[in-house]
Amino acid sequence: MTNHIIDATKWVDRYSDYLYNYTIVRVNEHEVAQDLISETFFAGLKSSKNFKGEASERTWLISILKRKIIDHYRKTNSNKGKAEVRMQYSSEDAEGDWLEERVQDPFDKTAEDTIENEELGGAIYDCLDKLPVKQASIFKMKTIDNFDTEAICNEYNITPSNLWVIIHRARTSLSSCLEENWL
Amino acid sequence: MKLLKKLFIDCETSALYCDKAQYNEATSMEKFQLKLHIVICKICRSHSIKNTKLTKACNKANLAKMPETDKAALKSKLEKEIGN
Repeated sequence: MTNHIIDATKWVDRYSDYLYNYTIVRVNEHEVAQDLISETFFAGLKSSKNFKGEASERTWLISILKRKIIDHYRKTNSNKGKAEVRMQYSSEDAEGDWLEERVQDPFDKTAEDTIENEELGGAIYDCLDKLPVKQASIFKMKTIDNFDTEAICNEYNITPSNLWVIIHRARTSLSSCLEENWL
Repeated sequence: MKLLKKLFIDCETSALYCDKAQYNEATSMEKFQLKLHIVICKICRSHSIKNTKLTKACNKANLAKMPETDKAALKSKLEKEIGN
């Protein structure tokens, strides 16, 4: 039998962004996502002996997180009916209009679009995992957090030209990684 | 002659301007030089198309990452738990 050593101290650095991206599209609330991920890590830590190493650590954590998300919705749904619904009509004339008509947006994304975008997000994160750590984190800071070039240069103590070289390498690797199925 | 030299850039510079343009950090002059270059350079043209597709994909995916402050807090909580 092989020994699978789990290094939980590295979980936050390695998986928190992936898990956060996975959670936020499903729960839509930062605090809830944060709590669920934290619960996932603690649950993972508790049951680390059960990790057989058949799947990757990330897949295993995702399976715990999935349960946590389902539990979260179960809990929310069990409170159904207790909540008070208040309608605020924009004008007196609108009073009594169908709620569906008020929220309807014909240009909104379809369910398929949403699913596809969630999968695309996962695919991008999968490809980001293949990049060197520094490259991936600089790319994320620039692309997801929209940090200024100067701020990133100060953080990593690099010159702007170094930064653009790193960004270029990251983008080229990502493009080729995603090319087959997504671009 | 000097002006022509300034207008026509090499492939390396074109790649840099192309990346800058993805983050809206290229100046109008840089964008113009890039456009001029990709008209004449097939390789850079295909790179530019791919690069723009990647930007679109990233925007479409609406990527999110955990804020650094939350990461630090979670890390220390986890380390505390491991220590116990």
